Amino acid sequence: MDDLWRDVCARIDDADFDALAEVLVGLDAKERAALLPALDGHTPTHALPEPVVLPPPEPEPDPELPTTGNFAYAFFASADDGPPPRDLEGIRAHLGRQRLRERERRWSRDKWHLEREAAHAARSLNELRQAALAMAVVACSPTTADVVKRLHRPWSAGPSLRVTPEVVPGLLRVRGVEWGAALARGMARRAGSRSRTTPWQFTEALMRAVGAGPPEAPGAVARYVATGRGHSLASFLAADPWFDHVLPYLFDDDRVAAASVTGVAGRVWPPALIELTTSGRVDREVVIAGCLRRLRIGGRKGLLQPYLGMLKQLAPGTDELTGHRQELAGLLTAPMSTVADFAYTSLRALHRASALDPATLVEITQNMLSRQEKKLVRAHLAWLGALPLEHVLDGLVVGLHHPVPELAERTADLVEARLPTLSEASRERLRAAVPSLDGAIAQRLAPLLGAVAPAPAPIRPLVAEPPAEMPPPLDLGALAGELSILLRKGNDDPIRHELVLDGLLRATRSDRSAAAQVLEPLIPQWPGLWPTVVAAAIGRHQPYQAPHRRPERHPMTLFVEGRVAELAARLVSDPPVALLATPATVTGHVDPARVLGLLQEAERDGWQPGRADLTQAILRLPREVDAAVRTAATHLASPAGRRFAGWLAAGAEPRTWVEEVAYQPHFSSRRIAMLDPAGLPAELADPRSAPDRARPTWQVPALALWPTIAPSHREAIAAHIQPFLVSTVDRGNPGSSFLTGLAAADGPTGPAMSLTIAYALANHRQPVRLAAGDALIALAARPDWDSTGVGAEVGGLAARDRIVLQRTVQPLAEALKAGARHAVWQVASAALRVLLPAGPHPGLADLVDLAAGAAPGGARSADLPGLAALAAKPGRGRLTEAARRLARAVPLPSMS
Amino acid sequence: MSATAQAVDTRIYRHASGLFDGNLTLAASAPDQVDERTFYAGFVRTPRVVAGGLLALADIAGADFRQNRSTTRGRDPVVTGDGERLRFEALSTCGGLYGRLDLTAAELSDAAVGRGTTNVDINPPLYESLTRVGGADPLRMSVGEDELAVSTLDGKVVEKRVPLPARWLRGLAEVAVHTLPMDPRLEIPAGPAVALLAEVSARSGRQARWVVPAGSGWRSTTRPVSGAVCVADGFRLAVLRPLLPLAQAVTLYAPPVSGAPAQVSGWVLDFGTARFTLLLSTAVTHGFAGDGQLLADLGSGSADADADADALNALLTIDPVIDRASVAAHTGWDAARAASALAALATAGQVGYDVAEASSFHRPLPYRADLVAALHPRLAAARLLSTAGGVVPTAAGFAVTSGESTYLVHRRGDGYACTCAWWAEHQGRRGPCKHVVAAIIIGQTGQRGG
Repeated sequence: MDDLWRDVCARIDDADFDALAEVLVGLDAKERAALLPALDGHTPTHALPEPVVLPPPEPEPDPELPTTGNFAYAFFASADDGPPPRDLEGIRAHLGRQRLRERERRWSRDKWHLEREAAHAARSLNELRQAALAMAVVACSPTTADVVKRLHRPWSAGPSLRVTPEVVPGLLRVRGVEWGAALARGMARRAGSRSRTTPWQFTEALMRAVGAGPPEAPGAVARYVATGRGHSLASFLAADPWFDHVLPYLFDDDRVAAASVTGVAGRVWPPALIELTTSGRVDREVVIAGCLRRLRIGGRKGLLQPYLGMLKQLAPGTDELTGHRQELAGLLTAPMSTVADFAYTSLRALHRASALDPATLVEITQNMLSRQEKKLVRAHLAWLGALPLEHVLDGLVVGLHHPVPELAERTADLVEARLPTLSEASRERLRAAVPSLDGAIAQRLAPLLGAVAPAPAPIRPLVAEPPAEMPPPLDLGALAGELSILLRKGNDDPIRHELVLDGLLRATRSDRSAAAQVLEPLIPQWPGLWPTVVAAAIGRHQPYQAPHRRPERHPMTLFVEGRVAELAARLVSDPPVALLATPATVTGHVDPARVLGLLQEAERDGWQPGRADLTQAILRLPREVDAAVRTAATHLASPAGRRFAGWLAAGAEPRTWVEEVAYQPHFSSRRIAMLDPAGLPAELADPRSAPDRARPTWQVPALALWPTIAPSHREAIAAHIQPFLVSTVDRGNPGSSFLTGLAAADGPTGPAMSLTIAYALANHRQPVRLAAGDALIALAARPDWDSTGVGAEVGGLAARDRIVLQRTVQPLAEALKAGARHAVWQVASAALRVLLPAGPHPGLADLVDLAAGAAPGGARSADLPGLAALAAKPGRGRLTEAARRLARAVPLPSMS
Repeated sequence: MSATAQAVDTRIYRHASGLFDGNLTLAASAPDQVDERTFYAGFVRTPRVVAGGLLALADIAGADFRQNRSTTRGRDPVVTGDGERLRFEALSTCGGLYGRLDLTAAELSDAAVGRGTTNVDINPPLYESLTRVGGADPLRMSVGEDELAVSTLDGKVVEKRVPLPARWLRGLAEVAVHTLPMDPRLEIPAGPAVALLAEVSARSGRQARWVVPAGSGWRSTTRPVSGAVCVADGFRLAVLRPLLPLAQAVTLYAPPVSGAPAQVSGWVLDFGTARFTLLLSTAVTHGFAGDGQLLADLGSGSADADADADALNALLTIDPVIDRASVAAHTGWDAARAASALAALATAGQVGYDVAEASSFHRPLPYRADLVAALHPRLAAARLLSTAGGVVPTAAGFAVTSGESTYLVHRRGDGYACTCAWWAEHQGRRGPCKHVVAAIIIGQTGQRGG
């Protein structure tokens, strides 16, 4: 056995597969099985690179310098050379040094190359030894299932066995073809597993050697496709008997398709397919049908693009496409516009060759006119202009519904122009469509068709709803639940924040041991304010220090945390009776009578409310406070009570304004809302300058909590939030729930709020824009709201390219649909006052269209400088057309 | 669960489905054998709709919208005949999209429709042939055994062996429960519906948004206001795009707005003689299977509900389509009892729900009954917890010990909530967590014991 083992090891180290097979073939199954444990633990000798020995560079004789005549010599100064030579001897010595350096350099370069070759040879030898070891292991394994398991074993079970195609002949010699075929089946079955790279090249070599058919499983075919095939893939495929079997997988299977268009395979497969088609090895029809099938099945853009590219390269003629008419019509609804464009162009070509049947034309019209790409819709409308409309009316109706007013109008133009040629049945079909049409189009077509235009659907007038009441206080179980959500998901819900603070205090004051039992398991390991306050609630002092390394803590964050920290400090030894600032409504307003009652109780029982809690309660007082409460407050004597009474008596409004901050290295120029709290508590102030406030922060704080800090002073909170909206207008995520809070809050309108809404309307994230539209709807329902400021900001910011105007259109359109017509008109008209005189601007046409839809009856175009001139321009540009629509909605002075 | 995860489901079709010379032949299979029933053999009225609907189903069955796509392929659609209609159902590979094509009697007036449920084979060549069906081409469709099909197709048997789709089966069961409380919210003609679909299925639509009726149309909002329909990860709706131009009207269905950040929505495309129903889950990563809406009922495991379900099942075998009113009329049960019996049947994969007709239909899934009844993993874990003695009633609720952690299961509104990470993540929107189910089991047995 020892001799045999030494022999096997020697042959593994020789990396001689034939010789190894020779040894193994002489063994019976038992002997091979006996070898296996030793082989499993065996590591072939690690070959080290052969040391490279080069003779040292020999000194050369000094060069002969000319002794007569002139000669020129250039010095290459080197740091080693010292001062330049001054005589012939010096020059000779200098040249000698230079040559020596050159020889040394050449010598080390040669040495490096030889060393590299030696390292490469050693590496190859090591790989071959590993392959030989793997071959021995595989050959000695009892069953094929065992081999498959070994070849796919995880890293944790041992180093992977590196089988290569070269070991296949030896293996078959040892174990026979039948065994090889069984192994090939097992390997092919595992080839698609994603958890681990499988030795596909070995599997493929084995399958071919045993004469197994091509792979069936998509995963195995994907591996076949992804394998590199040397220089010419096309010539390899042309000769490969498997290729015909694999071909349909390229189009039908997602995994194989993905493998054939990504990575290295993605660069060689499509050209190879084209080459094979050109050479006639592959039927053009098969590739054309396959590509069309893949485009219909769909997938990522990157997956479909190569197939579309192949199709375009093959440039199928109309005779080849005739059979695919219906598939092309189906592709017109494809998500990718390039696919739809190709299908459309092909169908047009087919129609030119021989007219398409009416059913197909209707389908083409339906599919094309429901596309969003203006170019495609316009192209089809232009084509329809040359076709009889009688049979395609069902499709044309889709165009009348197009959400882009310009395209709906163009469809209506076509219908209007061709109306006299239509039969009565067709007119009836159009008439039936009128009631469901959009206002302007219906108004236009109804008289022409002798129908009655539908009355605009009644839109419920906007009503400001009173804010909902806070949910009832939490019992111990519910507190644990909410606290668990707050600790795990972050503190971003103002209602939960307040309920938890209140619940912790209640838990402390009722049964502390019961609270400890429930809350103890919830306290997380990380240090922080919340673990501290929960620990405090169960009577444990757990010091908390605000992190030092965070340089800027926003005043509002400090304010929120200050109140929590104050509660944490008091909960351990001196819990207050109740929190003054716990709101009565979800907006954040407190009940003044409750605050008064608590202050009276505190005076009577001799306890003091927390300072931060009182400040927060004062900031949360509603704007209207009952006279009885005001009177009763004047009788309060404690410092807290006097502060409360003083506040009720005086009241204050913050002062806000907007400052321009010029371009700075970290950000573009922008507008920043500034705040002076005036008589409001100083905690609301932000002492930083406008450029400091404008500087984007690494992380956006939890803005959602802020509106409930001062629900009666919306301007003050808007001024704090607005700088974050500026820095997130094109990147990042500010969240959107603060907009709900701002809209629900109270207080006069001002520049900070206008600027906040304007930036939110133009945010790059659609949910934020939609939330801004929702906020505008809620604000529009309030009698004291004026959107003109928002419009002026939108216009000003868009005119200076600080926001993308196009983005603001959709949320405004949603607000218009919700009935906030007046507010939308205020925004649009104020923005147009700035933008129209400045000339064309991306998105302006859409805004003008929107304004036309929102214009109230009494508006006059004189309020919109530049509109009359724009509407009077010749041509049918989108902006001009939109301006004409707006001019019709707001009468021109000459027409009025 | 490991026993069921290893189970293999074998489908044997006498031949591959195909479409030759206007003959659409859909091969049918029962578990482990060829299904020898004939469900339908005759012409269809609107070939384009039938072909388009089947293509959309194939698209849904193969769709996987998740980032980490699974290697398992989509399942063959399930077809149910009730003597009048044919219903083809499919669930996407990711489990978050459900599609059903209902062909009504008006579409199939040509011949008799059989009763029962079977799987039909869909393959790439059939897919390609279906894309070639035009509006003007007559189409004869056969589902199941058909003499004509035998004469035109080669008789090569198709066998598909795949792991038993426990997730897929649970998903189909959850779908029926999700649709039960749905109401129509918004009905729009096909023209504007194209615009709506384009708006909500844009690639940027990777969020939940809400669509509310406004004027004659709709508007989008970020708030779950009353009457709104949630569209979560709406880009998945792109599978409807090829169908939409064929539809006459689109109706959106939604359950009552609960205040959750996302809800399931139903989209019904009406083609006159046929309907296509699509159900959209609450997110790409939320398959219907994991919704666990049935868990609380399952956990309670009341013997009465099981008996009711058996009675209702017997009723359904006679009359395959029933609405809740007719259940009440036949059995004399009140609405709650009928609903819970229907839910129990849905869980067992015995009924589906047609939201457009507000009626349940008998659909015994063609899978081995013992495998269908396999435990929900969360329920299995909960049973383990409850038997291990880790559930202790306390004053604040139930203290549930799982591994090294202890969680508190407490009352929240009408139901229960938990302090575990899973609950914090989903807050009950995907059904109760295993701790809650364990507490329910203990609560029930405790009550019974007392």
